[in-house]
Amino acid sequence: MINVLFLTPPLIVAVFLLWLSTNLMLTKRKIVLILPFFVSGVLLCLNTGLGFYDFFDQKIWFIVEFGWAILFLWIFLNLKHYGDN
Amino acid sequence: MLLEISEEKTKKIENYLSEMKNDLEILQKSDEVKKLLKKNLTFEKAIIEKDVKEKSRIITKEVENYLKMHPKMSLEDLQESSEFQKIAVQPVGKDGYSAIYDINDFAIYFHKYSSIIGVNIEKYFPELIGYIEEVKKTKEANQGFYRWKELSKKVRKKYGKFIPLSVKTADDFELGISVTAYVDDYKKIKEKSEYLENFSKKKDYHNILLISKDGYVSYMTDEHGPFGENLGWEVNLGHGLSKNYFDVKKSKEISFYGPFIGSYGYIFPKFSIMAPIYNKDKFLGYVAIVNQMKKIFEIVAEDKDSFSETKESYLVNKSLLLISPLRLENFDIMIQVIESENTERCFGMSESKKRIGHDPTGEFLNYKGDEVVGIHEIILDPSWCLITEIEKKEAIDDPLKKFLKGKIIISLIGVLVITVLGMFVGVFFNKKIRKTKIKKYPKTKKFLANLKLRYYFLFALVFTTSYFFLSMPFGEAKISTIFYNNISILLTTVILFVLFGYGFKLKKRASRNFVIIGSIFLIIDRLVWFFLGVYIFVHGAILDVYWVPGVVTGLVGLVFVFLGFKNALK
Repeated sequence: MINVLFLTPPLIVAVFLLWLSTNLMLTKRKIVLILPFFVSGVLLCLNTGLGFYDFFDQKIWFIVEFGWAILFLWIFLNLKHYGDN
Repeated sequence: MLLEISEEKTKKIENYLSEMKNDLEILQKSDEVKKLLKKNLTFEKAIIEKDVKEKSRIITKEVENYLKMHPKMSLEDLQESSEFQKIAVQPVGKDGYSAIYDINDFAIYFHKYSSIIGVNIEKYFPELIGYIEEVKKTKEANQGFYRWKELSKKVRKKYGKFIPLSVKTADDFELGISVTAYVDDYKKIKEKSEYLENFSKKKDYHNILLISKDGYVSYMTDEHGPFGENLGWEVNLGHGLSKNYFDVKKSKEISFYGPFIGSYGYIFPKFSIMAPIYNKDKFLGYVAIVNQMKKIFEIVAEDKDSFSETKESYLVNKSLLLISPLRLENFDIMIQVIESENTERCFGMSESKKRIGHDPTGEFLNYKGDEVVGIHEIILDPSWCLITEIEKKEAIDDPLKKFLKGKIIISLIGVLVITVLGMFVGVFFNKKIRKTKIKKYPKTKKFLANLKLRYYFLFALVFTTSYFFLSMPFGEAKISTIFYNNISILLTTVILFVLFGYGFKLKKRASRNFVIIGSIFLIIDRLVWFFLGVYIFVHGAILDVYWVPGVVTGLVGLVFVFLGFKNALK
């Protein structure tokens, strides 16, 4: 029960990000702009799944967190190249 | 899951022990116990008879086994063997002892006092000869009371048992054993207490004991073991009750001890809890409750998840001795030492706090050398450690493979379904969004907006490095472990700082605010996460609820950053 309570918010956010990614698809944006939304949605699902099955192995979290680092770097580079700065 | 199982079992054991402690406190304050301890101790024939009978059975067996194992040893060889001397002459009670004599000519060959060795019993101890002649005639054991003149010329009353040995020496000597004890060594309370008998029955305790202030076990609801004997006698020093007695004598406080092997004939080891008794500052003695480990074994062996093949829990004591049976192996309890990283870490740190100084969970090699995911919980009062382990293969590798095979496919299908559904929802909302005009804001001339990104990067590096060292509890946690576990968190934090700085350079006010606030939230989430990781490593597990603020902040931050990113796109 506690697990369900803990894991619902990330799943809601994942759905929201996936919705944003479809929104961008509809506005025919470049794939490099759409992918961060999609990847982050999938990463959140993965995070939630790993949490639900109690995978507390540090190596897995190390890799997942590394995935987030790459994702934020990606957003930053996208903003720099395609943003309204 | 492992943590929950371990905590539940520990709590049950602690509750069980605390219930015993409460009962002991009731007895400690009881007028009946105080009244009993004030009574004079008396001698009873049955106690000495029982003790001598039990000791003679053990000593005879030991001597006969030794003679069987060494059939070529002559009487002279045996007299020269210090190993045999120790078996032949053993203490009984306070001053009593066992001795060996020739069954035919009554000469004493092994005795506590060297001056008596070689002496003829018939000549020097006429009171004994009746019993010994009977043994010679019938070749059967004989026993009885007699008077014994000490070396100091003092005459004391003794009880002895005389047994013919079934094994001869290599040079054909027929020997007999005498196991004798002094009557005035044994003392007990004459009366039986209905209150204590009922208390013991009602609570289903194995035994309730009263111990006089000078150490005599003067009352027992179940009259076994060292009943009527003194716990300070050399012969009793190895007994668990004696160790408990000396602990309480020293600390003057309630103390647990165990498990220990009690009398013969009991399957389960026992443990005891003892308390001193005072009557208006006047010390009267001690009260103790002894129980079998059966209930504790049952708690440790409880297994709700019967599908697990390799999960098991067991108890070890402070000397790392296995004190509860293993589920998967047939190791001897109270004999086998479990030296593994998990057991050593359990007792490796301070005793005053639970699990201080290290993460209670981790990957270790177990007693068989297999890789396991394990957890330890210390039970402070009797200093036991509950170890719960599951093979890594079953805990992580296999489920991960299954997860990757089955769950990932289902998850991907789920994600695709959500995405397709999202597309339709997106179409609906997109029409509305397109209708609204995007309001552009002028470029901010503020300091932060003009600051170059490399300064944000440098600041982030300095900040995260400082945070890393400030969060480190020096001396208690290893830098290397925390560093490798959390380097990815710090890396994300650095990138988020750069993103935060870049947020100021965005033109649109909405996207600027979203990216800046979102980055701040995400940075806070990462810093909290890092700190909690270090905290758990040093102080042990925390309640799940402590993760909530960080997780919520992180999720809100993530949504904000993506909203800002989407808004900022041209």
